Amino acid sequence: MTTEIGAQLRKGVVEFCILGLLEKESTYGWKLSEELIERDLIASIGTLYPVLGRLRERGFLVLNETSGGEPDEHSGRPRKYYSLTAAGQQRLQEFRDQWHPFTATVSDAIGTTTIEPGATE
Amino acid sequence: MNTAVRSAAGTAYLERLALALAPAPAELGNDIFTGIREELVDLDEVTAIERTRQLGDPSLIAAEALAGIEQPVMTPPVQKSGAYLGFTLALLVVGGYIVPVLGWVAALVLIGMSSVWTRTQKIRAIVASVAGGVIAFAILLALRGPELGHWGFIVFLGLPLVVNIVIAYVLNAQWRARTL
Repeated sequence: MTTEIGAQLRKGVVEFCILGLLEKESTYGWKLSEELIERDLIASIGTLYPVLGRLRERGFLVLNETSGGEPDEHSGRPRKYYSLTAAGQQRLQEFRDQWHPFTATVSDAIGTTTIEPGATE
Repeated sequence: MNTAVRSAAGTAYLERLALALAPAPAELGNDIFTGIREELVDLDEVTAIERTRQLGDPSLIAAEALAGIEQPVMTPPVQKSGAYLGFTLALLVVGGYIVPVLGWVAALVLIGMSSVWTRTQKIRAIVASVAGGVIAFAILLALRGPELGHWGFIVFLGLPLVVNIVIAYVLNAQWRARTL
C-alpha cells in the first residue's frame, strides 16, 4: 500500500520535476534519468521517455536533433538535448504557484500524528 | 566525432533493446533507442559492459516505457511485417501508374496511417512525394506544345518515379534501422 501511494505521488509530480530540472539546464535523456532515479522519482530510463514524449507533444519541451547546446563535457559525443520552451516555463510556474499552498493545505489536513503499530481504539 | 557503437556488448544490448521495443509506438521506441544508443557510442568493451549494467535489462526498460504510455498501442503484427512494408513501398513507386493518382494516394495514406515510422519520417516522406508530383505536373504544363511537349510528358512520368524510389529507399532504411 505504501509503495502504491508513493508511486501515485511520483506519477503526479514527475513531469513538473522534469520541467524544473530542465529549467536549470538543457540536458540529454540519460543524464536526466540519472538525476530522477537518484531522487527516486522514476524507476528506470524506460519510465522517463513516455513522459518526455507527452511533454514534447504538449509543446513544453523541444529536442534538439543535433548535439545542441554544449557537447557532453566528459565524452564530447553528439547528443540530443531536451530544452524547456516558453510554454514549459509557464507551465512550471503555474505548478509552483499551486504546489506550496497545496502541500500546506494537505499537511494541515492530515497532520503529523503517527499511530503506533498495533494500537487499537 | 565518432558515432559508432564499437563494443560487442553495446551492439548486443542494442539488439535486445530493439527487439524489446518492437511493440512500442515508433516515436517512443525511436526516442528510447537513440537516447540509449548515445550512451554506448565509442565505448571500449569494459566501459560498455559497465554502462549496460547501469542501464539495466532492456526488456524491463521497454516494459516500463509501455506501462508509461497513457493508451498502450499494440501495433498489429501485419503493420511491422516485411510484407506490409514491401506492399506499401511498391504501391508508392508504381501504384500511380497502375491506378492513376488513386494508387499513389493510397500509398501515401498507408504510410500516414502506419506506426512503422515516426511522425516526422512520415510527414517528410509524404511532403516529398507530393512535391515531386506537383513539380512534375508544373513541368508538364510549362513544356506543353509541339516542340517540347514530349519532354514534358517524359518528366511528368519519370520524375515522380525517381522521387518515390528515393523515398521508398529512405523509408525502408529507416524501418530496418529501427528493427535492426
